[in-house]
Amino acid sequence: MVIDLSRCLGCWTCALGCKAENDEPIGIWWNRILTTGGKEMDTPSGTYPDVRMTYMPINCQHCDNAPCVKVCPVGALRKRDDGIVFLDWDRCIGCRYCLVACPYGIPAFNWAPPVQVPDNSQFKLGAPAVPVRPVGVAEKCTFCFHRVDVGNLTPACIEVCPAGARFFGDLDDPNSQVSQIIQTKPTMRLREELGTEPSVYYVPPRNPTRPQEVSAT
Amino acid sequence: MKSTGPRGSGQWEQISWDEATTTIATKFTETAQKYGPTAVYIAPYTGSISALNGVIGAGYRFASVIGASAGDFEGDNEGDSASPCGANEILGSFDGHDLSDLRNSRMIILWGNNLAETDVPDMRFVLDAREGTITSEGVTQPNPNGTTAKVVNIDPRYTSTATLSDQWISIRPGTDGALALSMINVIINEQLHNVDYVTNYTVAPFLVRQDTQLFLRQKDVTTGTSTKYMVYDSNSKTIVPYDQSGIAPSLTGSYTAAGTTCKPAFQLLTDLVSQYPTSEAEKITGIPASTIENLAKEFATMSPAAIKAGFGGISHWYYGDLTYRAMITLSAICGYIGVHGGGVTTYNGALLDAALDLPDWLNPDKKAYTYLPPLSFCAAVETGKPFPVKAAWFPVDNFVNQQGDTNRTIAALKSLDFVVVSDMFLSPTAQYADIVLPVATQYEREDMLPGGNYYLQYMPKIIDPLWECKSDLDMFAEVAQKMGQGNYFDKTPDDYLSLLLSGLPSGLTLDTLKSEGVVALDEKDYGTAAFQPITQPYVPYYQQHFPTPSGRIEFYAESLIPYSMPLPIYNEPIEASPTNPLYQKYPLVFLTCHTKFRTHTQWDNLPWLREIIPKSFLEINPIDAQARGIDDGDTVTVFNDRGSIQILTRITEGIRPGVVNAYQGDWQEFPTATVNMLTHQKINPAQSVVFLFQSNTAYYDTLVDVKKS
Repeated sequence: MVIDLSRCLGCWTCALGCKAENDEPIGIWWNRILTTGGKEMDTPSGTYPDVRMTYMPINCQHCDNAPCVKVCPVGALRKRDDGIVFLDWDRCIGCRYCLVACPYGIPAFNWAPPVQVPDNSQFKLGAPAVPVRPVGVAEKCTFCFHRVDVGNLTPACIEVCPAGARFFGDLDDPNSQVSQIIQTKPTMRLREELGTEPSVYYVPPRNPTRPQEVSAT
Repeated sequence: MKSTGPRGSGQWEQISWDEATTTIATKFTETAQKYGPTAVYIAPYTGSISALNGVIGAGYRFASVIGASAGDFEGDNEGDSASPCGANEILGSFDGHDLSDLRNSRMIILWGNNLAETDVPDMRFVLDAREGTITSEGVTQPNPNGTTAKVVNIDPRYTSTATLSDQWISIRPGTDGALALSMINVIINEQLHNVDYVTNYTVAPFLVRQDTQLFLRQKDVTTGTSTKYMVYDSNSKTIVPYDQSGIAPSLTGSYTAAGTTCKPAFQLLTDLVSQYPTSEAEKITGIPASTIENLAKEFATMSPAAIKAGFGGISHWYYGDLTYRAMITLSAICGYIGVHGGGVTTYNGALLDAALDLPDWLNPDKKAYTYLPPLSFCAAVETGKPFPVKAAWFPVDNFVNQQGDTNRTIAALKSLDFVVVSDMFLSPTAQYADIVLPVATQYEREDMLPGGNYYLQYMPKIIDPLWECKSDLDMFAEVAQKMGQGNYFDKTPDDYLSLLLSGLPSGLTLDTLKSEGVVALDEKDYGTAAFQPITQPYVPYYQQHFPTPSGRIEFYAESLIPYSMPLPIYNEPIEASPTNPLYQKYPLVFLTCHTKFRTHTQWDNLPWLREIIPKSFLEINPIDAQARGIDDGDTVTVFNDRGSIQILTRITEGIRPGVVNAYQGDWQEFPTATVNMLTHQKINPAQSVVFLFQSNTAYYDTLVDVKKS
C-alpha cells in the first residue's frame, strides 16, 4: 500500500469506509488519521502565522517481519503468502500480546461485547464476508482480503479515498502501480529502524505550506 | 405526531396520517381565509437535494397551487446568496467552471475557501492541478504552459486546504474586497491588465456621466432616441458610439459631454482602486504590502489564473456581494473571464436548473407562490409586512438551528398559529412544531438529482419507506388533495420527472436516464443558445457574451447607483469591524465555518462521527485565550447582546488572533452550542436588485467575546 501524504486531506473517508466495510464496533477504528502538527487533531505546530500541519492516515502496516505474528502464542496472527497479516478470531484467546508488541499501536481489543451502530441484530452493516467478532478478541486491518481475494477489488480505504491519495497492489511486481510510485517518488516507511519491514509506504508531503511573511498585525 | 403541550415542550402524541393531513389542510385553509393565502409560508429546503422531494421540489408546487408564500426555489437563501447576487450584478448570471478546468490554470487562488473540508471530492482537481497530473480525462486543452499550478489559500484560518497549498495568506475576516481592489491597483499601475479584453468585453471604455452617474448614451449628445453607450475615440478625439468602426476607445481621461464631465468606467475604477495602495490595504487586511504586491503580480502574469471562491467565506458577509464583484473585476481586468483555466468559480452547475422545465413543474397552470425571502420571514411574522405570516411548513429544513439569531427565530415560530415540520429526524425545528411528519429517506423514494454539476443522476427507490414514512411528494399530495388541489398531484413520480426532463433541448428521456444512472448533459442543455458553452470542460461565458444590460462585464453597474455602489467599493463589515463601537465591547470576530464532519446540520447525529468529534468546540488563538485565562479544553461562554453559547475550547495556532471559530450545524447540543444564538438577520438592501438573491445571512459578520464558564 502507498499513501501519498502530498494529497491527503485528513478527511477520514478512508477510516469511515473501513469502518463500514468491516463492521467495526463503536470505539474501534482500524484506520485513523493522525495530525502531524499541534497537540490536537487539525491543529498546526509553530506559532501563528508561521505554522505547519500535515496528515498521516495509519492502519496496520502488514509488516514482512511482523512483531505481532511473532508474539501470538496460539497462531491466531498469521502472515499469508501474499504478505497480508491477518488475525483469526476463532483462534484468538484475548491475551493482548499483539497490542503490546505492535510498534504502531494498531491492534484494538474487544473488552466488552462489540456494539455496532446500526445494531447488528437488525441490520449487519459490514460486508457479508466479514465475520461477527466475539467479545474478548483483538482486531485490526486485514487489507480487506475478503475483497482482494475476489480479484479486481482493492481495500475499501483505497476505493473510497476522494483525493486519490491511496494506492494498493503487488509490491513483488515491479510494474505494478505501487511499485512504480515507490520507484519514482521519495517514500518512507514508519519506524524502519526496528526492522519490521512494513508493507505500507508513505510519499511525504510535497512541500509544507509556505506561510506569508510575518504579518504586520 | 402532534404536539400535546406548548410549542417546544417536547410532548407528543402519535396520530394517523389521515388526522395529520386533515389538520394541516384545515389549518392552512382557515389561515388563508382569515389572513390571505400568503399567510401560509412554505420554507425553502436544502435538507434534501433532489428534484421532486427537495430543493426544487413538491413544496413549491404545493405553495403555488394553494397560493401560499415560499422561499427561493433553489432554497439557498440563508447565507449563500451574496456571491450569486454579486455575480448577477456584474456578469448577469451566477455560473462557474467545471472544476476539472483547474488543470488549465497556472495559478489557483482558493479564496475564503476550505475546499479540502467543505467540498472534499472537488479538492482532487486542485491537487491534480498542483501535482501537474494532466490526463486526457475530461480535459480538452492541455495546460498551455505544461507547468504545475501554484495554489494560494486566503483564509484567516490555517485549514486542511492551507496544508495542501503553496502559500497561505491570513487575512482579517471580511476585508477580501479591499485585498481585491488593492491587487487591481497594483495590476493597473504595473500595466499588467489586459487592455484589449477590458476594451472589448467590459464596460471599461463606456463614458459615465458625473452628474447622474449613468452611462452616457447617444441620445444624451445627439438628437434621436439611440441608447448606445458612448466612448471617447483617441483617434478622432471625439465622443462616438462604442460600436463605431475604426475607433480607439480611451480607457482613461475626463471629457465633457451633455453639459457634464464624463469619464470612462475604467478611469472610475482606477480612481477607486488608487485609494487602496498596498500600504493602505495592509492596514485594512493585515496582509503585508509586499505579499499583496507579489500576489497581484503573480495573478496577472501566471496566466491563466483561477479564483475558486468559498461560498461561506465570501457570502456570509453583509457586503459579500461587493466582495464578489471586486473579485470578478480583478479576474476580468486580466482577461480571465470565459477562458480555460481562469474565471471566478464558487459553484458549478447553476445553469442546469434553468434548462429543466421548471415552470410547468413549479407553476402548473401558471399558478405561482409569492416569494418571501427566508431572511424576511421573522419580520413578516413580527410586523405583518410585507404581508402577515401565520402558518408555516418547514420541509426537511432545520430553520431554527440554521437561521441567524436563533432567539428571534424561536420567538417567531412560537408566535405562529400553526407550524408543520416534516423531517427524517426530530430536529430543533421540529421541537417547535404542532405537527411533525416523518419523511422517507432518499433511498425510499424515486427521484432525480439535478444541479451541483453538469450531470443528472437518477435516484432509484431501493426499499419501501420504513415504518409509516412518506415521501415529501406524497405528503404534499395528500394535503393538496384535502385542500381541493389534488388534480395537481395525481401523477406518478415518473410522470413528473418526465415533465422536468421535457425542458431539455437534447431530448434526454427518463428511460435513458434510468438505464444510464448518471448522464453528462449535452451542451445544448446548459442554457439559452446565446450563452451556450462550446468547449469542454465547461467554461461559462466562453463566447464572451454576458446576460447583462450591456452584454458586457459590468464592473460599473447602473442598477446599484441608488445604493452608491455602482463600482465594487470596499465597505468595512457591518458589524465585525474595529470601526464599529460594538468592537470595544465584543472584540472577537465570530466565524461559524463548515466542518468536514457535517453538511450543515446533516450527519451531526451519527455516532461514528461523534466518536471523532465528541463535542463541538471553539477555536481560539493562544493570545486571545491567555488574555482571558482560558486553558485548552475549558468550557467557555461565547456571548454578545443577542445570546450566548457554552462550548469547549480548542486552542490553536491555526487561527488569526482576534478571530474565533465554532463549526456551524451542531444540533445534538441544541441550544447550548447553537452558534446562531450569536448571529443576526441584518439584510443588505442593495441585494434587492437581484431577484431571488436578496436574502443573505451575514453569519460571519458577527462580534462576540468569550469568557471562562
